[in-house]
Amino acid sequence: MSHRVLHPPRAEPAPAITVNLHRAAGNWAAKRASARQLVDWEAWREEARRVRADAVAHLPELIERLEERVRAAGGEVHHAATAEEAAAIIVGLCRARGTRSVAKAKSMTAEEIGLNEALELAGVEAVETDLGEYIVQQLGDRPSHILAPAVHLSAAQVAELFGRLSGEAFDPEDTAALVAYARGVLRERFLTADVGITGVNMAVAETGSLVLIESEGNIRLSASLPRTHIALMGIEKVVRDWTGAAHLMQMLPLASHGRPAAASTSIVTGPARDGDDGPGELHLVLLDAGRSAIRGTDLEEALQCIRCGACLYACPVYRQVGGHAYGSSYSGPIGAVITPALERSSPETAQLPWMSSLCGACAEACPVKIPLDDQLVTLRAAAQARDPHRGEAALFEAWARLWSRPAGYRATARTAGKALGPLWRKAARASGDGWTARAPFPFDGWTSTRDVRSPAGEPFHERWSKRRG
Amino acid sequence: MDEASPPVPLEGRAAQPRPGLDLVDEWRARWEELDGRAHRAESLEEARAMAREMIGAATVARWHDAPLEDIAQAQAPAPEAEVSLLVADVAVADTGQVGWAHGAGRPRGAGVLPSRQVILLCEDGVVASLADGLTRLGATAAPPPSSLVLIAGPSRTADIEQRVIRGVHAPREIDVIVYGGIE
Repeated sequence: MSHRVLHPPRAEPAPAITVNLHRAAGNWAAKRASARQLVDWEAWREEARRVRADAVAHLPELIERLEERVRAAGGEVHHAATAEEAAAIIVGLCRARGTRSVAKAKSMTAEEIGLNEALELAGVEAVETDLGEYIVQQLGDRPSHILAPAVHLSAAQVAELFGRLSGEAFDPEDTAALVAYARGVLRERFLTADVGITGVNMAVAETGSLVLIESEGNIRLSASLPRTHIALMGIEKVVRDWTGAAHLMQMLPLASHGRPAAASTSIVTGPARDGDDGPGELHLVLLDAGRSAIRGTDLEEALQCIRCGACLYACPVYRQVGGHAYGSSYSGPIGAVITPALERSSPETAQLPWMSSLCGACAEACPVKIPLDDQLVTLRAAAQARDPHRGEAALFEAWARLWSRPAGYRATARTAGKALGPLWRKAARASGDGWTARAPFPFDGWTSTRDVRSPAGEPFHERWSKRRG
Repeated sequence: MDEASPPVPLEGRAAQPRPGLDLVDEWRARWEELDGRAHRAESLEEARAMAREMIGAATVARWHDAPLEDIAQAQAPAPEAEVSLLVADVAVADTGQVGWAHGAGRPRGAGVLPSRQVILLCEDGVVASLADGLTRLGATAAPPPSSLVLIAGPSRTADIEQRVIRGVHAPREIDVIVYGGIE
């Protein structure tokens, strides 16, 4: 697939990613408007922020209580300091039970620890059971949105895939048939899997309960039918009590879908007991992997995140480039913050905070009021301090000095248009619509992933003064 | 960061109460917005008769609660049954949710596998807020039941090009019959 993003390439259909993302973002914006009619949005945001901030502020104490209550209910608790440790714990649990088949319900945390790869290496077959995740897994692709993993794919691609898997032909327009096919294949998996692996939306310290929220029902099945349920959660997902949990259980679907409830909510407290026929074993894996280190820093509020996906759809950069461009498990504004925050020293992720226009739409959309735009600036400053680009800084300083004076601005704008214009316009003429797919050297590096318009021959302020006479 | 501030009580209501509606109607309006179907019966007997008619000759996996006895003609194990027949413990007016606890005689498979679902609910179980519903389900007990479920309409997905399809892994059609409280 083409990775050109700003402007659909000519002579090629627009990539599904841009079309789908724009549709998804449009749907989300409409849902957000309906959510604001249902509740006093600002008051609800503030309460949600308070619940999450309280959890982050008292994390060690709440995790201790959660662990005690989960054990008291008969569950086992495992601590993983790193992603590798978490994957090793889960692989070990599967191996010890002679597990052949795992039903896996969508979990960004599992994505974070590379669980599928680890299970595959250990010879355990783990099938993704969320429809979008299943499609992405069968394609050998990766999820591109927290809630809609296959949002970058078209129905035609899905129909082609299912046709290949089943040997039957599928009509891309018949979405119900595509869904029915996946339901049939996955139903068999649920009934035969030895282990179900799920994430956790929130864990209630007061009673040791895990809350699992979803639309499809695959999480409920994964946590109900297999003999063993393994739940993986980042430690920050704990909340103190049911009052706070009840608020977040409504806030999460409001922020994601504009409705106060998701189609299915499962609340799991320990393994099955009192005649319940569910899993005989419950294992809770608590993942730190850099989270504790964020507490007490100026990025602490990022730990309040409830993974609703709102900041992704709100972000003009995400809407153009999609989740894969971030190259990390968590994408969008929260990904650009949490990924470098979790891996402070990694050079690959240090660039992520620049994938933002700093417009602040993410912070405004956030149901728990994480100041994402401020945090992006903080991370940029930190990256710059670690690895100062002195030449670049000097250039920007000179530019700022020049353009803060009208005369300086006018002189350079006119010169740039005159000097660059002819070269640039030649490239644009070749494209036929004023967009340049490849700018002349030395700007061609910048256009390798973007389309741009050629600079105006006559700067706007000159045309403006002419019009006014 | 606020330090150990006491929890602010929830407003309790997600929405402005709708004038002229009782709790059952409020719940019903939300539930129907979520593509669920709802019916009202004067008595348990009437509710059972309605369920019997809805199910007809379809194969059923059911729970062992007394109100569900002798409704279905043909029973089948949950993975093969066409319809599941359950009782719910609560319904939440604010959110449109219907909830229950699994346990003895209330197997999980029957709660989720068949593609059609018929649920009986006594109107005493209809509460205003989710916080009330969770309390009623025993979530705040020590310990809570091992498995609680709240549903809000049929399962759904929009994973393929944002087209909403009902009935992915959990039921596609759900009828809830609310019957009058025990006098």
